[in-house]
Amino acid sequence: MNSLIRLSRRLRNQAGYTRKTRPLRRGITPPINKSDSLSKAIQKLPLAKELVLPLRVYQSLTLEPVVKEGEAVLKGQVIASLDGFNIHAPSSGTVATIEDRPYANPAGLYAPCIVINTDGMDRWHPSISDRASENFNERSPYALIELIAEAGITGLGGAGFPCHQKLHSATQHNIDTLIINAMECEPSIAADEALLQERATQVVEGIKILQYILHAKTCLVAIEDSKDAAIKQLLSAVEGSDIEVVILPTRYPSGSEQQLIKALCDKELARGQLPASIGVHCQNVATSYAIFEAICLGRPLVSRITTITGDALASCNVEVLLGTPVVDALEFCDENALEKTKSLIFGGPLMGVELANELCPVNATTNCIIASQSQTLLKPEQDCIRCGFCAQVCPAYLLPQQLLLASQQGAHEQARAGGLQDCIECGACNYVCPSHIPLVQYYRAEKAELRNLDAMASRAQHWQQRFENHQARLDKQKATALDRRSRALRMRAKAPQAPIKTDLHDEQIKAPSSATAETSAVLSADQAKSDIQAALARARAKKAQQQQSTAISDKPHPKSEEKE
Amino acid sequence: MAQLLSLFIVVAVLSLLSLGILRLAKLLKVDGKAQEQWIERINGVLPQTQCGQCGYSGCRPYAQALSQGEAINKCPPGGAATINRLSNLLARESVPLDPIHGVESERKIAYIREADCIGCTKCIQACPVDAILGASKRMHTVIVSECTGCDLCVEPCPVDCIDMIPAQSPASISQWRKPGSPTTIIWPQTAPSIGDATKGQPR
Amino acid sequence: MTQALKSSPHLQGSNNITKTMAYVLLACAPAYAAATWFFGWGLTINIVLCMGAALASEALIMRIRQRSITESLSDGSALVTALLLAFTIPPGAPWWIPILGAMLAITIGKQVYGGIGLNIFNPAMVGYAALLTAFPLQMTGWQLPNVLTIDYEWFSPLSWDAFLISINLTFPFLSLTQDIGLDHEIDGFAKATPLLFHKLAAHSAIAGQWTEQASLFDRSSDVGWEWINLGFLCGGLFLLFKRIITWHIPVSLIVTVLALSFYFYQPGSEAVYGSPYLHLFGTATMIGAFFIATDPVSSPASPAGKIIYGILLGIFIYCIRVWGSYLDSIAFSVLLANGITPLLDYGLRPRIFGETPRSFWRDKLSRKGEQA
Repeated sequence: MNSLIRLSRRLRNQAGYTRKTRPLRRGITPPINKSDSLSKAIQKLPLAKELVLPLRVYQSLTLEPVVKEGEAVLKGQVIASLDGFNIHAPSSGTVATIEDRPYANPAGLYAPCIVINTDGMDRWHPSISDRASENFNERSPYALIELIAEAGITGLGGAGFPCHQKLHSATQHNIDTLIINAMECEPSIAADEALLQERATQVVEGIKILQYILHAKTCLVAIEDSKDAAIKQLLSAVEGSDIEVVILPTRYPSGSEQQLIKALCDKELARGQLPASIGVHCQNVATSYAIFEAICLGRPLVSRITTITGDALASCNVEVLLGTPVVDALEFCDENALEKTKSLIFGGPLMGVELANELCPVNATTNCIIASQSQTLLKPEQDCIRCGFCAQVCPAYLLPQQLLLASQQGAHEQARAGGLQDCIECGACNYVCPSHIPLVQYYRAEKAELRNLDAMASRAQHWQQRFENHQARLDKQKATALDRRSRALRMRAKAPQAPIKTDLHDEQIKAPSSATAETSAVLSADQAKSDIQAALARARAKKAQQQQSTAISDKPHPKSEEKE
Repeated sequence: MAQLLSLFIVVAVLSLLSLGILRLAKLLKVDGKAQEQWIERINGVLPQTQCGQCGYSGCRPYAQALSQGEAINKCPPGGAATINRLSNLLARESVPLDPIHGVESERKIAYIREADCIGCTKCIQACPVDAILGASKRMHTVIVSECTGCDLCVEPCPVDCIDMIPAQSPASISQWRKPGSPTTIIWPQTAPSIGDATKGQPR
Repeated sequence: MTQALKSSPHLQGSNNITKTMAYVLLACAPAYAAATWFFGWGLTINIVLCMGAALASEALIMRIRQRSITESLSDGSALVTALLLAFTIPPGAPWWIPILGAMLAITIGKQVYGGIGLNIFNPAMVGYAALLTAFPLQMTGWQLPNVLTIDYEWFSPLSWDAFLISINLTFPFLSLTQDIGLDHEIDGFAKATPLLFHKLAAHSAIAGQWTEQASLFDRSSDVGWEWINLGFLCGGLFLLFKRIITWHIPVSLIVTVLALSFYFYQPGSEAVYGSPYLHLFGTATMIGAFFIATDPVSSPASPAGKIIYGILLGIFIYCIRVWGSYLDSIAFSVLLANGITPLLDYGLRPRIFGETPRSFWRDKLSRKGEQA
């Protein structure tokens, strides 16, 4: 039945099938679960009283605030900056405080945030209208990249890598294929689809800007065959341009960058290899929309489209200002949502981050908010029966059951050899596991351990190097000291009446750094002496006390035992 | 039957021979030109704290001794993990750490109590990796990122102003624990949880 | 405050162990139907006894290990083991044979290693091998209410009388059949596996019936075994379709057996090598290839490992069958190959996404060098 539907879609959307593709064969097909939110138009979320903007944007990239507490800001005004990359005030108001607040991350860490009390006026900063330009062709690609950096655009699809850095590194290579990712393969997330349904022309305009920046010969927009309305809008929007719409089967995780490149270009990226190295550049549709807004309208990234869904509320797609606390978004959909919600997820059900706190602000990568009524969505873990379903669905061609065994047993080298670090944590194995084993969590923990091991190994190597340098220095000192002594002896033999140098003590040979470096002492000699005496006395008293305590506890430390 | 028996004998003899050849090859490898490389490999397994708790002046001398049959359980900083790796590498039985040389503990870093330091430079001379900075009659300090936690500076300090404090790795987003660990993540005290915050404060 | 947050994914599919095992049980249905049609109620009695004993011993051991009894019984793995074992025990075997076999399979074959997922050897085959070596007589005599010795105008293996005879064979102390005078109607060694009597069979019995335009389901002819094997083939294809098993083991095993039998077969000669046809459909190859060798716990994980495993298994099966002294060889071959599984799992891994064939092999060779 599914294949029939797919065939009919294929026939209807013939335009998208001109290119030979190699769609993902592994992976899973969970229920799509997007029609509820897509049945309504994109709504604008009412302005929140307080907006919280984390200064930590991508992993450890932390920006410096350029506003002070109590300062009045306008919408679109720069409030934090680093190397030409900015965060802007999403609405007008005053800076309430700059302090550590919870933000969306799996470890529940806090990050420094700028908190803005909104004034309800939502006034734009006057510079916005100046920056807008109808014709992007008039500017050079580098100027455009700079504008994108100033607008604070990060990737709106997945990890949130700053867009200008990605573009900048791409310009170092010869890019011949630009891939616009509209796959949005995770269930429940419909933000990109809603965006394409309503604003396809603007998205295509953004794609043209990217095409201009990268001089890409081919430009492909990849979209899943289940998104009928979006495909229709997209096809009419790209008419007359050389942008090609490619329709791929609906399958998770076909929207993952590596898998998408494999499907469209038949090239596989090794771990750590950048797409630019094979002449491919990937961007998300929402990012292209943000680029359109930044270049053509002069508006920085201050809002995004997000799907709010889950069984605790009525699903919808909203345009939400960055920094809006999740709780406001939830209450917009359902007044009692907060009471009903037991667990909150940012992102999709398969790769999303569970939040500990409903005050976490919406950030640029929040493409979906799932509010669930039940505390745990997962069934209890059972033993692995090695059924191999996981290996059948793994898009990285790994053997998850073997990796599980290795990470459970702490067999680090086996895990490494099995390619654990190539795992993209898509969760497909976890989804099909009949024993409901939280495989991804095992892998994440084991990956963290491998990272620690690597860090330890490199530290050990560093220490070894320093130790060897230290030894070499000591040897050299010894050699020079010997040399000097023998020369002195020879001198004495030659001229016995000459005064004999006797300033070479053993101590000096060992470590001349302790030698009589008779620089001017700050303290007078007497005072220093008495201080030293006092300190020595203190140390003696402490040592005596320690010995006493060890004698009482009757548990001598092996080291102290040796001393005695 | 006789054929079967002879087959068994041939297989047994062949396997014994191949085992012997492997063993011989290993011995040759150790005794031959590759001796240096072999010591390097053993050294690579050691934690490189250069603490000398094994009774040798550093990790490499211990590695050399190991290649000549020294016991593998003399390295407290490496602990059980290092003993395991050594037992694999050297094909020796894994034994628990010898308590004479110390006990396994988490990684520590030396800190100098600045108020008490008299600037004697004795710790600087003791440090095997030059991780202590300072001059005579000036306050000394430890470069935290270079400290191996070897303990060697504690003993010579005449005023006992050096503390060994457990090294703390900063909390990070990616430090996942395996399922079934007592607590997956420890939250900061002030974080209000879902549900807690809903009571009381109107929004 | 501490709170355990779960890692993504927050969504799970509908798979569970019970469902997986239920599919395997379902896949045995065609073969069960064929076996019952041709050989009567003996198999059903064996299945009931095996399953009962398996569940009881599983529950007992779970009690001893202080684990949840309901959880381990409801996963259905004990039932699958019991069913596969029941298929291998001759109908009409005395009652203690299936019970003992199932208990051995569950305790020695599975639970001593730590339960589901941890056993090294296929539990059903452990049970079968133990029975076969300990009680060869009971395990090779296929005592059936035979249609040839009874006037089959009125007698069918599915009739009430046949049922009574089967019960009586299994529980001789009940003496059910004396009252109705059927006691002497049991044929001691009728309908043993075709290998015993038809080692030279070269053609399909079903095809023969077809050309003679006789009934394809005629109980008096030799088509029974073929139908059972076809039943297992259908069930195996169903499992493949449902992606419970992968193609690697069955295909490599069957191809190996076919290749060997083609190579050694000399039509017309008196040699004992069976025809390729006989090796596929006259023996237990089908149940072995699709149901026993594919047991995920005791077979390798990687595709390459699975193919090597299948080939080895095919060679073992053919050698033991042709040159060995046991009737059929699936059990011993599977147990032998199970022993190699950890080695195959250790050495082989599939190419990882992004690896070129070149870097894949380089990685392999360099790792080998490190370990040496």
